[in-house]
Amino acid sequence: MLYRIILLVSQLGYLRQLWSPNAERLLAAANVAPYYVLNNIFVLAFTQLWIHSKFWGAEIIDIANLLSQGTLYWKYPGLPTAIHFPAVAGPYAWTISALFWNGAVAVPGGDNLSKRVVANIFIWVYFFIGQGHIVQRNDHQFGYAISLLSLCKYTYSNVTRLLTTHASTQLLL
Amino acid sequence: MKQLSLKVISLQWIFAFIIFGIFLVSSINSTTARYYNRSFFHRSRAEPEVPDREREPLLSGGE
Repeated sequence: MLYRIILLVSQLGYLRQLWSPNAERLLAAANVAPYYVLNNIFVLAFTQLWIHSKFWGAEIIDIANLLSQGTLYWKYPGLPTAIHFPAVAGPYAWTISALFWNGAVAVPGGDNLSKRVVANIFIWVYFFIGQGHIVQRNDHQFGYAISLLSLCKYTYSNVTRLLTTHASTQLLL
Repeated sequence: MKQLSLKVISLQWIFAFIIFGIFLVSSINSTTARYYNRSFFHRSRAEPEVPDREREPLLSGGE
């Protein structure tokens, strides 16, 4: 949620770039625009499927989004910060973390042992994907985005976990 | 015994927090590296060759 707010505010900055008087910046912003629109449509579809508990559908949408975002990310290196973060790195980092997050929810069976073992493996897959992007492109913007996302998801799931497991706090829910 | 195995397998949460930490640290490293115009591993980037002005011909043709 915090991440969404930061991303949306930075996207206002991106939209402003579309009226940039600098021709080079304008071209860069315009090149990214179709992917940006596509990302918004995918996120809308993802959210709709998610709130109706259609997690596998949401996962497929997220994979499609990941393909489009990945193409964008590797196609345009060296974009200015005002374009790279709001329209490229931010949504891409969100898509990667949503892939694993939603995947864990989509697998049926609640909280059992085999699921936990798989989660222990996939958390490291997530790590290597994220770290690979940071190192390969020396991309600190992507890095900050994905680390904030990791912290948000970690805090959120631990708070909900504590609230649902402790009888004394169940009254709060 | 079952409680113990559940505890051990709950490591994923600790891992998740460690991963958050590594992401943050490597991002800060990347920021400083960029600030000093270096690569992620702090190797200096190859500087573009500056043509030596001392070796330029004195007369370079009509300007």
